[in-house]
Amino acid sequence: MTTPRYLDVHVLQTVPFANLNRDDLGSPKSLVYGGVTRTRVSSQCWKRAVRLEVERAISDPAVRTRRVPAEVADRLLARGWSQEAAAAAGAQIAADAGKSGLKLDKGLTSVLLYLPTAALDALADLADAHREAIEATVGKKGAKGVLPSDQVAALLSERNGVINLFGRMLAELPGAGVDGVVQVAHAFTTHEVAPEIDFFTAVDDCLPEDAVGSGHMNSAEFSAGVFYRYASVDLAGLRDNLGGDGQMASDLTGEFLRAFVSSLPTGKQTSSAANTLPDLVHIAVRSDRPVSFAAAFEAPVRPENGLAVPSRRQLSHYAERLERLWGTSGVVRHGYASIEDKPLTGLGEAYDSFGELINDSVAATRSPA
Amino acid sequence: MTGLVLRLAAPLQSWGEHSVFSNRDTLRFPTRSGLIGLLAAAQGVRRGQPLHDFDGLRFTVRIDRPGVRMVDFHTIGGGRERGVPTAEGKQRSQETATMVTRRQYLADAVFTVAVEGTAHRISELAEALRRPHWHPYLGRRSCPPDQPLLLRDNVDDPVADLHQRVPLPRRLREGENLSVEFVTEGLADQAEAVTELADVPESFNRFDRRYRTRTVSIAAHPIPRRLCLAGSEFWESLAKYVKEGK
Repeated sequence: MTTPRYLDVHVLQTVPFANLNRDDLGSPKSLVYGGVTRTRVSSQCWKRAVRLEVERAISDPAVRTRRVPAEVADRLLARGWSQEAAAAAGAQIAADAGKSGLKLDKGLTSVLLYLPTAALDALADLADAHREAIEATVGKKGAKGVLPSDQVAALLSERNGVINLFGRMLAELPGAGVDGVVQVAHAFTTHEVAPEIDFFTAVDDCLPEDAVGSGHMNSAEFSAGVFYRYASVDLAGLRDNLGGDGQMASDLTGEFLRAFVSSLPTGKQTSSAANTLPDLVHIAVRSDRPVSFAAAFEAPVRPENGLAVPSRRQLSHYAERLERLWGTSGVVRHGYASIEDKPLTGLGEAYDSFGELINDSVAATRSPA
Repeated sequence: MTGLVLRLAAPLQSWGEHSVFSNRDTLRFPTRSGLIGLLAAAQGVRRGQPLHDFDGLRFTVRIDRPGVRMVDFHTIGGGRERGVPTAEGKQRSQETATMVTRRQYLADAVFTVAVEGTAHRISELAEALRRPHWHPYLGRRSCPPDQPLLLRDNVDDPVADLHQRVPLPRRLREGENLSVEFVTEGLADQAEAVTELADVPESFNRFDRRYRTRTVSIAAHPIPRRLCLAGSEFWESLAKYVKEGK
């Protein structure tokens, strides 16, 4: 069985003096692993950066709003509907959402809906198709629903790329919940890190000439390190979320990988500009189960001509060892791209660029069937 | 009865029992609901589907490395102009816009778990763990397990393996002897501590999670010196244990 089932992406990334993700005291988030303290960036933090990047890349925005009726009414007004009829259409959409409909409060749905912007246009089209029936309800209190409720529910449950990847929780419309298919682990440094306390002062520009000293002083915490980042895509789950559309699943997987490789959390970036790219990306398409390599760094990396070089070697060494124990029958394709000159023997085929690695890995996710 | 031996290791795990809204706790060892969740996800059991297939399983947990409890400070919606919407659809005021949750994790912990059940059930679960339907995770989605997760299936007496065969990541000093804690279900004769946990899942339905209580006993047992290994020795020994089962 070599049907691609999971895609694992492993990244090593050097981040200089920065504080991408803070705790309640302003310190970089941390983690004890292998008995030593590391710097950590929470999965939620990095996932948000990835999600925003995917949204930009596929230019298929989603909106989270209670104003669906009003948004549809606005679209109908622009198509020459009367004010009353457009408002009635908005109310109809709420009343016809699924079996029991959604409650309206001053024109707002009782819950926030999360749907692709394109679905709002589709709802307006649906209203347009039932224009006469809707116009007949104007002025009638408690008018019966005239729109096909299953179609309205289907449109309100529409998904876009980001919803299909990361999931959605919607209680009021049965069937509108979407299970996310991307698993993202907390990123952590491959080595021990003690945060730096940066003492700083600020100059008061308008002091009298004889005044000395600073206008303000404080301290902030930062740290630097080589991060191990891991995420995994449930390929079958993604295809299911997309109603079996394999091409769309490939496209989204590619966008997710590009975003995961290139995006960075924005925390304190204006004061640190730690805008790095990964030193190494390893992608494995597997037919059996996801495999994280976090344990490669359970024994913390010690500096030896820096930390990035030994981190890359430790990852490769661990992957090789695990493969020997595990066998390679679960690997459909694996490869890596890295700034390392020397070959890393445990990570599959070597690629010249992240782009080629991603393209080939995505191609390998297409089921042979 | 036969069984599986699982190894639960990862930078982070989280085994919540009394989590409500913004405070998400973790126990210091895996819960029955967390373990069933792990197995059910591997089998592709959907939320809300009946769980009595798991009732007959018996879990014994060996605490190889207790880890450290850690709190992750997590905010939602900070810095937004309009604040976060509330459940009624109103906007929270600017002062209360940021929602804070505190999520507990166990960092650096390692557990070995014996799962006992009927031969048929155990082989089903082993197959599911080899080709899981959904991503396996240790209590929380963001906590993927280290591999190998499933050390062995089809073990006659997996609890005896925990006592006598599965290596444990610990370097012992000269003359040092090691006892580790075992968490067993029910009331054990030599228990050092007995506790009630509300962690027997009846339904994982998102809107209707229900749990029954169970009794667990905690007792320390000596571990043979030869099982306590560190670094690559530990790894080789673990690999040997896995391979012997094949």
